[in-house]
Amino acid sequence: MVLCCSSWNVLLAQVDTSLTLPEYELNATSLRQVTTGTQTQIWDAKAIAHTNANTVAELLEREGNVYIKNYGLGSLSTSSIRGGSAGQTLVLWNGLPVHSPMLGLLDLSLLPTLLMEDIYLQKGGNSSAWGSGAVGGLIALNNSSIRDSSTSIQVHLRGGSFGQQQYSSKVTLPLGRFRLTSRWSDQQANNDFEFQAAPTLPVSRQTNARFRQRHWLSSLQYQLARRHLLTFDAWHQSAHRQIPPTLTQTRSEAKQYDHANRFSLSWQHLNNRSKWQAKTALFQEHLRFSDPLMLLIADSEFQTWFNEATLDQYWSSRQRSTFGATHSRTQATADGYVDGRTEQRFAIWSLHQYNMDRWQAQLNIRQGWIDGQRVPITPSLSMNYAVSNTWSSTAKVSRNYRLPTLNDRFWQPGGNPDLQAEEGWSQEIIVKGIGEIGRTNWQWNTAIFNRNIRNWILWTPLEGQAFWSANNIAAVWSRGLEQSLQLDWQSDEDWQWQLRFDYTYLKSTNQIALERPKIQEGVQLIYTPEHQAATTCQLRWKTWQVRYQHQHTANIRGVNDDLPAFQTAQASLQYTTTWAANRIRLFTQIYNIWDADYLIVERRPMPRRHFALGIQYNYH
Amino acid sequence: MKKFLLISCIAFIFSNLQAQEVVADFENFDLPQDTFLNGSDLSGGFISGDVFLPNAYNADFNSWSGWAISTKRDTVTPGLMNQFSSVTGTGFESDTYAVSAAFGPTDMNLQGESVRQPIKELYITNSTYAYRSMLEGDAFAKKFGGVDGTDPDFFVLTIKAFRDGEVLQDSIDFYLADYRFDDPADDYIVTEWTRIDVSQFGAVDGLRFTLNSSDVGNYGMNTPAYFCVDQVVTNARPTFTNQVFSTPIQVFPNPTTDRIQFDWTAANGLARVFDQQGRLVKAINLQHGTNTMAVQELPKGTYFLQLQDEQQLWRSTFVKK
Repeated sequence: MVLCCSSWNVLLAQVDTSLTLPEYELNATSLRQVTTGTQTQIWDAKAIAHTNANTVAELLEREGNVYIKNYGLGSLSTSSIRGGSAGQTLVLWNGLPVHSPMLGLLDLSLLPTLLMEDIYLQKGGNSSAWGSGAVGGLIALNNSSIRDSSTSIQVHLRGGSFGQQQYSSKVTLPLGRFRLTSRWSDQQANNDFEFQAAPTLPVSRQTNARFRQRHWLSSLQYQLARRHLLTFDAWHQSAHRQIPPTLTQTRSEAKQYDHANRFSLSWQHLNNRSKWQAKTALFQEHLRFSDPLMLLIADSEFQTWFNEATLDQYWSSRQRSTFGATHSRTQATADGYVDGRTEQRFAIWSLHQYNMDRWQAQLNIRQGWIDGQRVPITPSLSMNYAVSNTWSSTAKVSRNYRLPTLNDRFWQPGGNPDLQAEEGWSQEIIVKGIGEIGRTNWQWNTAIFNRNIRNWILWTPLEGQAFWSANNIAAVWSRGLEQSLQLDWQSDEDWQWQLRFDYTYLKSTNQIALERPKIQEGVQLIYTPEHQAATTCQLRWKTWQVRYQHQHTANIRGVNDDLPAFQTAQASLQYTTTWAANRIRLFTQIYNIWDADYLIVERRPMPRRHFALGIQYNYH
Repeated sequence: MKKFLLISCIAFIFSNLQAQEVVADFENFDLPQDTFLNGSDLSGGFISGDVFLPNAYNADFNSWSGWAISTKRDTVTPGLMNQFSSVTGTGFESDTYAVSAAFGPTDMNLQGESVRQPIKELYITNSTYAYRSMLEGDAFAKKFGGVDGTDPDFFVLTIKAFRDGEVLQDSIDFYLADYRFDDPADDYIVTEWTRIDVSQFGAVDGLRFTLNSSDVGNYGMNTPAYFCVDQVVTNARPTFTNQVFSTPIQVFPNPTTDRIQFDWTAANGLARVFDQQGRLVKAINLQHGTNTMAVQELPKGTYFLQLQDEQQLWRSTFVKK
């Protein structure tokens, strides 16, 4: 089930539901997560399973119509939402920013979807609620919002082309006042796919592309009292990855090791009209890049301690507010830093929502500080108007920003402690419709957006400079249109079909002519496709499901070369059988079904047609 | 006029005109093997023979550009970590050589008696870093020839000369790699020290080197901007073994804060000022009579003033306060 939330009705339903849940379940959907006027898609565990998307990168690319800059199977994947950079997408885990404060981004290929209970995608800026980085969009991963407290077991096995193996499992155990949920995931692949680098060349096999990543994610909830809930989450992640050569590189022995431990402890208290939440968390990450050929070993690590307190106050059936304060302290070391670096961030914010019959309005405001320096005050105002039972429209104006990363500020050479935050204003209008024509349900969604960001940070070798340096040299104007139409048809209990069209037009241009990188004024940014389109067709018959998806990505400007437009397609077939409390799902998937030869990142080959199949067992 | 004749006579009587070659082979640094100098002592450059190689070292970032001196012998390791090695693993018939990180135009300045004289020759080869990158590619730069080996790639070093602060029109292109041949078997990457005759430039104050590659992206050249130089043979002007020093030329005021003046009795000539590292910092054409040279922009210190015409040379010093 995919939910698109921006209407008051949906929101109110969620709020009401959360308030009437048993005391055990205090995870009311936060006002921050369903901000009025924001284009939001939510995939719950069931929807994720239906898509067969293996990683968050795959899910967003196929289901969210998000452009994913993918360096190859198993390699780095970052997102570009509405023309934003990878660092302008904020990634949250249970409400806390989980991206690296050194790099400002998170590799989405390192996030198996099966680890999460639900995944949110918000397109558009939302810095007034979430702070730095929520400029282009927001990805929220939640594993604690478990709606079901009964015992359950899930085992997922998957294998596929190029030595792909995946094992993951999930166990939920209610133990009196405790509830324990643990997830394991272990996946590996050789990724030694064949490709033909040029028509005149023989077929080659990808080398140095193996990876293995393991995750262990546990959540222990303890009901302190009738309206008090304590939750402890722990997430251990390790990933070993070889870095394959480019098409114009004869060999590579480079590899990368990512290791992360994330701990979070939260306390929630629900009153009749309010919900208090306090959270403290510690994130530790270590990244080692090594290249034996180059005699290079580069280590970097950081440790971030978060503290956050929020109050959701329901003043009346018409008014609701959220107040919060958040603090983080990061310590980081890297070969590129002279000494260890420390950064402290603090922010206070408040969100107010008011409902009047057909109208809904929300005002957010946030003030942050970084190392004692005030960052721009960040407001947003959004309105929703229900034109009829079928149609609604929303409008939003917001200020958004991204603070420079630790590497931007302190990396030597090239770091610049005097960098300004990337910041600017965004406007968006969304028109949504939902209705029925006979047995066909339809959903229409049109979003038009406009965003200007100045002080855009680019790393570039300035003329005559021996090293790359970070500078506030660009100003980017992004505007575009997102259109989706979904049709669901059910003839009887046995037959269901769904058809979905997604299209994105995006013009994201630099407004200042630059020498390095060589960008003329008004030219589209690199790795930002102007057009993206996808069609998804899904047919269910009894316990069978077949799904076909076709995607088109327009030509892209690269760093060295332009990349031609490409089309890819996936198809899947799955069968589900249920008896008593047991359910088994068998699935198979064909990727790149038409065997397209394409590149997403220049000089990085992508695999031709390949396969996966698997089985998932659930006891519930 | 009498004064000029007197000076000329003294110069003629006590001088013995003698042309000589001065070789900059960089062995004067006495570097142990597999070591390098990258300017971290903030000396601003390196002098060998009559050649001064400027170096810009950023102490905040531990980064350098311009020139380094090296005895590194690693011909195998690719990448930036091996940026100080020549592809031959040695200098030209020696251990020590110069490495240039030429992210922009990079100068080699003449000093001493070789100033405003022709440079005879120098030897050039690839750095291991650039060579390996062109041969095998790396994460940023392509292997030359591209995916299927047919791309007409090149890595060219353009040498120009400058005189009196102006870059001359003439240039020499030396291809450190050339993959533009019809027959791919002719494609090459330079792996030996190669002699470059630069005497065609005539009398110069120095050379300017610029690297260009066919592998260029939006961020500039992808090929590592490095090359190596050794055995720079300069032609010291016919020197006066018994030169006329200082006494005939009165420089005033000395010390000075903004300008110096001196009388020049010949029809014309050239005045040049060198700093203590031998770098040419200022030059003017001389006219008969009293000449004035503005020096207010020079940092405080002692400078060498050299006056010359076609036949003769005088030297003096002055102090800038």
